[in-house]
Amino acid sequence: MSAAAVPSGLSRRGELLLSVQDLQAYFDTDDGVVKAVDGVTFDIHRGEVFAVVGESGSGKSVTATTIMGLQPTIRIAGGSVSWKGRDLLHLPEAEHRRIRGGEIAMIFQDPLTALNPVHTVGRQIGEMARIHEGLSRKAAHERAVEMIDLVGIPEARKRADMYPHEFSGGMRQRAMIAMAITCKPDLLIADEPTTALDVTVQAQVLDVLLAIKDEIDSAIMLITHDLGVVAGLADRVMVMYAGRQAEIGTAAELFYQTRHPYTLGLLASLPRLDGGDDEELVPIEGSPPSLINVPPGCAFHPRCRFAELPGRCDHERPALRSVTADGHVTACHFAERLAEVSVESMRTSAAPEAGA
Amino acid sequence: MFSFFVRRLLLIIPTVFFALSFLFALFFVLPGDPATLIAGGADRVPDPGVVERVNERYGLNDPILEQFANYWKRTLQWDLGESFQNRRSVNEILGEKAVNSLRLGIWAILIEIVVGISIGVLSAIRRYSIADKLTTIVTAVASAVPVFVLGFILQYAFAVYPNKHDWPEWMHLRTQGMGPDTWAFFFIPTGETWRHLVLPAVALASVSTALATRMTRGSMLEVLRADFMRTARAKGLNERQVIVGHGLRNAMLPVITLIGVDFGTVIGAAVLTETTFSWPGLGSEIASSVISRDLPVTLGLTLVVVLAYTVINLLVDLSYGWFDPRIRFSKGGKQ
Amino acid sequence: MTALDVVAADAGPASAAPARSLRGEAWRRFRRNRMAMVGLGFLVLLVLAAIFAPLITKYSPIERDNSAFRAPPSGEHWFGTDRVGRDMFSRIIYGARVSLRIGAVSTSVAIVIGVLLGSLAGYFGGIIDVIVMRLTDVFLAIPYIVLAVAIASVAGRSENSVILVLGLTLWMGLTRIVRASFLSLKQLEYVEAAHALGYSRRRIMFRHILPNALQPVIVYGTVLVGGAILSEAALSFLAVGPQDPTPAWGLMVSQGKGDLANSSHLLFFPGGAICLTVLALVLVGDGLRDALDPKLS
Repeated sequence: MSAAAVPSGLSRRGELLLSVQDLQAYFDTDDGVVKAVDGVTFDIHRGEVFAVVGESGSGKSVTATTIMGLQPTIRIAGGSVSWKGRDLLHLPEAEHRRIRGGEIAMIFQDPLTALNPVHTVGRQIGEMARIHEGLSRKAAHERAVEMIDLVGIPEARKRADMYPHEFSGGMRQRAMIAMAITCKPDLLIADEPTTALDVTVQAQVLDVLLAIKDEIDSAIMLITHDLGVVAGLADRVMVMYAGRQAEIGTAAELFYQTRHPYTLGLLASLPRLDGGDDEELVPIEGSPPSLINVPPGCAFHPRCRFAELPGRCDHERPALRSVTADGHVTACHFAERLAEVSVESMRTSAAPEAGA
Repeated sequence: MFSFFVRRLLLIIPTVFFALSFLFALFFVLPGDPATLIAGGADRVPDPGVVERVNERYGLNDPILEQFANYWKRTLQWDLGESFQNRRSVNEILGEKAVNSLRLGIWAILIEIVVGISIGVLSAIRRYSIADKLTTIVTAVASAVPVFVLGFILQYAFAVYPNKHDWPEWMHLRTQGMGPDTWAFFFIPTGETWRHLVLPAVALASVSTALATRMTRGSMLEVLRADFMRTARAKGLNERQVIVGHGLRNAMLPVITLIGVDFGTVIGAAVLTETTFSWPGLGSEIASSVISRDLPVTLGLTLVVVLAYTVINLLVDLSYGWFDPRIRFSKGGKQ
Repeated sequence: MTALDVVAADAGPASAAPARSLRGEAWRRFRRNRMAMVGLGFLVLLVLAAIFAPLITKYSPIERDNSAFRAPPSGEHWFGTDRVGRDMFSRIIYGARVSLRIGAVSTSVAIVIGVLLGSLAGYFGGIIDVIVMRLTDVFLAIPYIVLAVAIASVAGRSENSVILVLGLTLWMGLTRIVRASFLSLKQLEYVEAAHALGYSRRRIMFRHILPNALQPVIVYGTVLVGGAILSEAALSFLAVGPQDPTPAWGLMVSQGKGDLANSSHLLFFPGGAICLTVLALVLVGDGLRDALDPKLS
């Protein structure tokens, strides 16, 4: 695959921060090589919200933790990750640590387990400032109070001295956000930040995240399995399947000019608020493949309604290719045929329209 | 925190009460004729005159309930009676022996904490390394060797063998008794005393150190997988800061409980160690009082041991509250 | 202990095989653990040696050879002879009978007490739970060697009284483990389903919950046999265990303690027998734990 030659979603927004080219990150296990990330290419620019969507096990979290250097057992089989022009994959550990937390900060899925139960929230937030800015214990505490206030937790000074288990779920996630933004990072990676939360507080937490992003002028890489979350928030979206990149483009392109059957399947399985009573949700049949034994050709072909079998789909792995000039990229042999298919038609017609 | 303390303190009372009542019943109610037991033991036939005198002296002709009440009355006044063997008051024996047991115990627990925890943590961090595998094997072996057998191995290796082979004098360690009994700051041996202390302290520490090592290793391995450790790394902390600052305290939680519960094992091991090394402490005194059927001494010293065990576990529970804020608040109410 | 939840959760999509193979899977993992297999092999040999003791050694464990006191190991007496001329090798082999019998029977006693009290406390909760937990506290508050010595000094020095003593002093840990298992298991859906189907409480307790609570009991019980053998040796050493002609390992160590300097074989053979047996049990226990609960390994 010559991924380097592929345009990877142009953006006219801001400075180029992160550039991932054809990243291949594998785990060597007793049972075989797990190709957790297998050829992923994207850029993130300052100011944008970049969403990564996929089922669990699609490689979206591993992509993020590999960028962060939090996967000690991973083997980088190919590709590059460049952060503001510096090669992140081959950076000395000490320098990588300075970027980690300072320039790229991460927010995890379950704030209860991701916060240390035996330290106060204030101390955990302040620690960020202590290690990256060398603040004194007292100054760090002041900063922590400021940050807790910034993410909209009332009585910040009192809250700073409390422990994670005394916070509600939504407040814990706000505390995680406060911790992540303490050093005003350029990129916030949020890994399923609302999955563990009640539906009612999900929107609040996302709002905080967006407001903060503008406040500190950073970018957000939002990892989620929920296309619904992405719809209102993301500027650009990357869909992943079985460790591979399926489609990447602006949110509007993905939703209205879908060019990958998997994305289409995800959309069809999404409930719509404006949908009629008779509207049916169509699940994608089958289950995602094991990352040790990815199907030959296109990884999605066994579940794809549009696959030509036998044929190119189960023999040739589709290359990433542009469908528009400004960076809408897909990995489907028959992307053009999808132009005629709408999500509605997916829902109404139970019978597969092979070849469209 | 305060109400937690009070509740925990109140819980001690029934525990100690029933424990001692159980021992009282064991000695005074079950055997049928305690006087025979006191005067001679279950397997021997004592002189009838002696039995009569014993009955008289201990009020054993009184109804059981009255004896029971009297026993508690005396105990609450800290009147532990006197030795049947040599008429020394139990309090006096206690004062003399408890100090020595305490000294031995302090060293054993220091070894347990320092060696057990540090090796356990290192072994977990360097999992699958040769040192880790060695630790696993050594701790398994150490937990399988009876304390007194280890005592004899140590005696052979560090006293008998060097003696036979004329090793230089400074390398000889002693195996019997406490030596000149000279101490600085209560527990630091001076002069020749250290030669007497080393082997029993190591023997006494062996089993619980092995347990603490295994426990620390297991608990640390669990913590290393925890989400908050990943958060700490994501903050940009280095590995040492992650492990010391975020891992250690969490990994210690189960170990602290173990050290408290394990204190019972330490006392059991102390009985054997002190007997093996003729260390003049509570343990060897309890063992010899049981063998010589010196009931007041057995009961009195056991009372002290039960109290010590309960108080230590109380302290452990309280320190647990300090280590784990979740306990502090959920059980004690918010201040 | 939520070992069972872990196992259940672990047997996720990857190994959604029928329950039958769960045991086979555990055995496969156990076999891969070399140390545990060595321990198991040693135990099998020891049991065989104990059963066929008369075939292995020509000497009686209690007959005295008046021509050889404290003889060092030789071709005639493999492990030497003791202070009254008894063959040490045959005493060790016959001693295995004593140790294994005491270990197995007293552990069984402890398991019966522990499972009964633990399941009652865990299943019914409330006042029963409070009483059982206080009772374990009381027994834990008396250091068990002291308790064992105290009971033994009253009960006398027969093998049966040692078994009784050990059974009565080793049940507390099991009670806690079984109680914890019951607490977590009784909230699972299949138990609620059994309630909804109108099964009797006794049936639910013993037919539906107990079998699933047994895994930690098996692991702990294995290690406990070793603990019982250690305790028996300690009681013998403190002269409240089995009495003289009985070839009990702990008693032999105790009898040999005066001979450390000159006839050290009198200490090291019985001492070694205790260590190896307990070590084998610990290794098997470790192997079982890892095999039944792969996540902890």
